[in-house]
Amino acid sequence: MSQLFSYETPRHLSVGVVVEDMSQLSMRIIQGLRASSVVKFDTVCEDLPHCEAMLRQGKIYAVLYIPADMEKDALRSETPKLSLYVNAQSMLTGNLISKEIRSVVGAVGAKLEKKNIPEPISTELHTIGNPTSSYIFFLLIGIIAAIFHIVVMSCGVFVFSWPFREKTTSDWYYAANQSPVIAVLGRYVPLLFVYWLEFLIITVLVRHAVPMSNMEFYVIAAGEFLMIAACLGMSLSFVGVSGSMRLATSAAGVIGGPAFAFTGQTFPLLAMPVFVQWFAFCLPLTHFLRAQSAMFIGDVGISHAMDSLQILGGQVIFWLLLGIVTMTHQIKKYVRAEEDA
Amino acid sequence: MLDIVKRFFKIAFREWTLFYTDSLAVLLLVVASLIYAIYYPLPYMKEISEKVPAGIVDLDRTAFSRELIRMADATQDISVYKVYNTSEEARDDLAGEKIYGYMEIPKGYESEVRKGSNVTLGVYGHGAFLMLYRNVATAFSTVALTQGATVKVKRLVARGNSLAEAQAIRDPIPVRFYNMFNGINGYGAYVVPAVLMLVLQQSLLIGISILGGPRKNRHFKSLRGRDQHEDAPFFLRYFGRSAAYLVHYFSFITIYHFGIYNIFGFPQRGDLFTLFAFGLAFFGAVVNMGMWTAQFFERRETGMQIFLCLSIPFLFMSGFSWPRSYMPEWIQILGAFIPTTYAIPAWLALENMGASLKDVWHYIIDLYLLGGFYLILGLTIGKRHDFIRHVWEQRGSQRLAEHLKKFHPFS
Repeated sequence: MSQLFSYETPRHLSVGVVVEDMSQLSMRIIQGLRASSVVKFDTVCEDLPHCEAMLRQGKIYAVLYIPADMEKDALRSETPKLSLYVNAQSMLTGNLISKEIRSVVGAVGAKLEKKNIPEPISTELHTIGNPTSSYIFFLLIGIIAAIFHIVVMSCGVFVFSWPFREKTTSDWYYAANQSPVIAVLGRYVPLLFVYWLEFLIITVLVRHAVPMSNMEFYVIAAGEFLMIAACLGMSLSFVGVSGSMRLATSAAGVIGGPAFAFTGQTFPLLAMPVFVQWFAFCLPLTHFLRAQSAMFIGDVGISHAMDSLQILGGQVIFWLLLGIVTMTHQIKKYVRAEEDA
Repeated sequence: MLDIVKRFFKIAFREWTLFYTDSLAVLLLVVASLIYAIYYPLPYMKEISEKVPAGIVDLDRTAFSRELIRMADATQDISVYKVYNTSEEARDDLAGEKIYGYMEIPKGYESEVRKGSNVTLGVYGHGAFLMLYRNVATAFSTVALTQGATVKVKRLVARGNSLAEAQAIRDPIPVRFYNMFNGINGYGAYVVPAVLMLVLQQSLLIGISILGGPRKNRHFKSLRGRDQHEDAPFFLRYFGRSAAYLVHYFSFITIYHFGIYNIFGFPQRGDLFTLFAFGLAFFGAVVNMGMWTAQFFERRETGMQIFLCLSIPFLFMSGFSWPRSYMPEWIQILGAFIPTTYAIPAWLALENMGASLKDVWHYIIDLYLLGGFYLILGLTIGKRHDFIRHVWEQRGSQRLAEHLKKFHPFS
């Protein structure tokens, strides 16, 4: 996944152009855009429907329409209007192209009007914790956590329900000195540490480009530990309640599969319906991502990250207790069934 | 010949009845594609994130800065959650996700502007929420430019230009922006259709794997006592069962087109005939991929676990959020073997953008080629297993028996 976003920001996005004004000004705009590394102006369409068809075919991401008499209108101060048609089904590319075209056309326009004066008020944009607006920090680290969320749940279900599936519950139970708690923890603890170690290694590999402070690393490491512990607790509970590998895997799939969509990382939680917000609150991934995001802001984020870690801690206790109680019942049931058989 | 056709349809029908009688198959092949289609769009019901909470650090505290705050609060994109005295306070709320960005108005803002100087306002966003940051940055930049435009026009008029000239000089070549195919720039319309295709692919792959693909003599409880077609000739088994999956999944295209798209108000420009033509290519590729992969799983649950974990990588490999041409070559090659890589852009073009089959013909051809590729693999591997079984039945070799135990463990 980190390789998938390795370019950080897409470049040379194909844009079509319909030129109805063969003037110096339109050539200057096209030259300006050809010099840009964000867009690639290599498609000249006969007319708008031609370009629209290419948009539908996925060959270009946007169309710039330069109307007839643009230069004349501009020189007569009649403000000609260029139009940019963006494929809004491709949000990222649409935003990048709009921003670039606005900037290039603005620069050409500023040179055109000699009476122009600089903007009295301008803005300077900063993204805290992600200075290059990289997708690695915005999306990738969230996606990796989401993959761990589902993999840990799904594999947890597999490991905890394996003896039920293979009818080896008695062996497991007697190997744990007839203690369901020891039997469960005997599978839970090694899994927890193996996944935690794996998650830590991946975090270090993915985030090597921007060094983390020690405190940030400790908070993220603690968050990863708690998220994995909570996910394993959930899978334990799914197996404990259902007593079946198939049903528990389905539950893990339904809850863990689309979890990333509910965490608020790409679409704000505030804009989601209240019941969805409650569901998101129940997911360990939501709180881990909140802790991770809080650390983007630096030391100010520590206390907020700690709040999220506390909630994760509460989830670990709840799911582990529920899992142990329900698994105790299931283990005894399966042992009886195997002994009867 | 007629017998073969009759047997083919009986096998297809028998497989189809399994979708409704085998508990796990019901869950995956009937319920999953419906539940996910309703459950996944729920977070995005509002489509656009309006009134994102943002803050303003006002170090100037003048009528001019207050006007800027009022203008910011009046925008559709953001709402001003709080006006702060220091940037530390704003950063604290940013870390707590009470706001997703803030603008800092420097001390002496009004006086510097009145003096004719150029003032830069800092806009700060949360690096982990780039989508929301865009709302914040756009809103703050727009209000700053609007306030600046008023000042600029006044300055130009003071230099002897008419009001109309001043307005034209301020922005000599304005650009009008149009969102095509997703007019409100809705997030749900952007992400959900792609996910729906992924749901269809994953549920079908998992469904085929839990029912054993083209395996001979499966021992499901739901087949007990009526399994006379389980030892049908290989090609009849393979194509008969494939036909059941193919036809069954056309129903989801219908449900998504008439139901889900209407319930959630996604742009709907496709017609059913075109979508079915697309479905034939898409499901053909997925069914053959499933018939091939299913032959490697020793247990019914294995496919579930593997394909569940692969959902997110499959989705991003399709290039729906990140252009495929900006992925490393090896990921592009890997993605070329996943049906959703072609199905997602084809579906978006047909259903959301109103493309014709001709417009997406290149994707359809790719899907058919992929389907053909998996068909050859599925037939080769399946035929090989059948051959090994036949030899074992003739010779009773222990090694072959062990191989078959692995291949036919479904119960």
